[in-house]
Amino acid sequence: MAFRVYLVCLKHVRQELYESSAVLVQKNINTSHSETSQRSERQNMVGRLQSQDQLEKFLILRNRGENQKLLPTIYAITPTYSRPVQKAELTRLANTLRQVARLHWILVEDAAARSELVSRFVAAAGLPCTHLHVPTPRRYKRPGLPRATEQRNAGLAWLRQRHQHLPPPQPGVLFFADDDNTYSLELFHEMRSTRKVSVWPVGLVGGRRYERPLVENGKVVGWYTGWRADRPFAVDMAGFAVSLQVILAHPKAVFKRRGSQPGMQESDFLKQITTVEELEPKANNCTKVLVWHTRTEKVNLANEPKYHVDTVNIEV
Amino acid sequence: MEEIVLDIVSSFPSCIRQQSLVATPKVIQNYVYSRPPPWSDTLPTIFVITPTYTRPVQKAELTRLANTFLHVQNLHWVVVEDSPRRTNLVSNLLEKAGLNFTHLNVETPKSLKLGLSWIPSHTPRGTLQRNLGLHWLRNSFSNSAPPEGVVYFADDDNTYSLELFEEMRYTRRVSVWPVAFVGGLRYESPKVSPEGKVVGWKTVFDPNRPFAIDMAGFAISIKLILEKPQASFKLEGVKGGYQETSLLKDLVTMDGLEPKAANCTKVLVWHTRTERPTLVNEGKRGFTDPRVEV
Repeated sequence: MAFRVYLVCLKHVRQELYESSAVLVQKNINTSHSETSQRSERQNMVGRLQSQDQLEKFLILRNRGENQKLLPTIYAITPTYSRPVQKAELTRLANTLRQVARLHWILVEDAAARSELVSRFVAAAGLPCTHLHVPTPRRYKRPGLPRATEQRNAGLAWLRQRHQHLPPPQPGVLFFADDDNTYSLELFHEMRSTRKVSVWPVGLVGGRRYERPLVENGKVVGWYTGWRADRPFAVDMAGFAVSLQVILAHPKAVFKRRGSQPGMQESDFLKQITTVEELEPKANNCTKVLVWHTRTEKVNLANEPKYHVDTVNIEV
Repeated sequence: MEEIVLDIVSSFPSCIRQQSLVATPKVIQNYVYSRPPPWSDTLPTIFVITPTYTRPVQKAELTRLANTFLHVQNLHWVVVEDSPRRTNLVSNLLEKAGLNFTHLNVETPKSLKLGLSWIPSHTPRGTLQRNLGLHWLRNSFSNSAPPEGVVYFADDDNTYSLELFEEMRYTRRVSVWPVAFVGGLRYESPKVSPEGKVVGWKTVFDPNRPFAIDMAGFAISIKLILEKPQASFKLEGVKGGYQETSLLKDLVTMDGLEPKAANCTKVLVWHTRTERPTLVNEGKRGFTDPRVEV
């Protein structure tokens, strides 16, 4: 019901999102691992609302929240690692993600400890965000090996752990958002209605303008790609989303290291949780490109002095 | 519809274990779910001039740029295509985005594209397009009643933080700030004296330029643009790295610059560049369906 409301009320975005965020607050209050600090923060939030009748509306909606079906939350797992453009990439990704309703960002650093840069960024990000970290073992950092495996798995583990105490069904959709890709806002509308696993075209990947699943009668029948079309699932990491239910129903499904080749990561993962027949094609039967596999150039730091000589220490 | 603003940042369990290391800047604290925020009659307008040209990543670049601009109140986007006609790709994107925009186009003649400078990377690009943007501004507003506002040149592959726009909004003449990833450095920035005046440039590449600053590192008030109708980017005799100087020298002197971003100690804009995608599998005649827009 809430889903239909969401579709119908696109014009009244503010009102609908107000409702859903109020409902989400209600849900948070009821989760088993809420702490006292959360509750007082919630009270602070109520106190900060701008006018009396807004407060009233909020309280009404909050009490109604119990009976309202929740809008599926989109979980975006983003592995990230330290390099000069990291803050820039995260900034512009956040600028996109911040506009999506009910999106929970899971940021996983490839690091032994949470870095200050990302911690500060997350604190000021302005959207619900979970900050995790797991270092990639040095032996897996060779060119040609799959990347970000440990980080994506850490994101999956966090999600599974968070939901194991909650009764099914949990409305939610999970997708993997690399920090240098570009996402249009339409993509999130499309993926939110995922029941099991959905797929769509990805631009600028596989050596072509785009790669896409081939669709007939609403079912995926093949793959249109420039690279290894013989893969069981010839999709890029940015080309699919999985419903939370499927993730929770397959607790052992993770990205593999042993016996996997680069370019096969997506296939090896999807093989464990779905079949080609079950895939749901999105983006107008996979004919529109709503996400682009952009890559950012390595920056030229040729003029940086060997040692720090400036009078100030500026984060970039 | 009244503005309903909720401060949700602190109410999620996500960052519980992280303590806030710095005070969160006020511009990002609140969700404003109407996209873009409603126009205000009292806030100065930010006119962003973006030259753009057709290439595979164009739609991606403009999309993520639009996603940033949708946060900024009173922003008017002036997109100027380097093409003989306004393309459908850009027109549709601008219509769908929901921003206030103006869509212009002017084609750079081939002779200019090939090189004013023998070093290809130093050939000034986007010059005609930026000048057309300035020309449109001067035609749209009269000098006798100039609007409150500022002009900013935003290339489509850079990355902009939201804080930057609030820093530039109240520029009186010309304001400046650091830019990351230019001049072979982590960032270039103006040198600011303890009194808060710009006294030089912290760059390695030709710091003796009158304005050793990148296109993304300054904003000009509309009033000043309208007061000085002759000021525009020059095409003839402009060496690499001097394009910004060619405009700014007609508008202001170094001591008239206003340093922003905490006296030029914070980086709020990054000169990122996007890799050219390898389209090897398209082949000579193109493999994918050209009707699918990318």
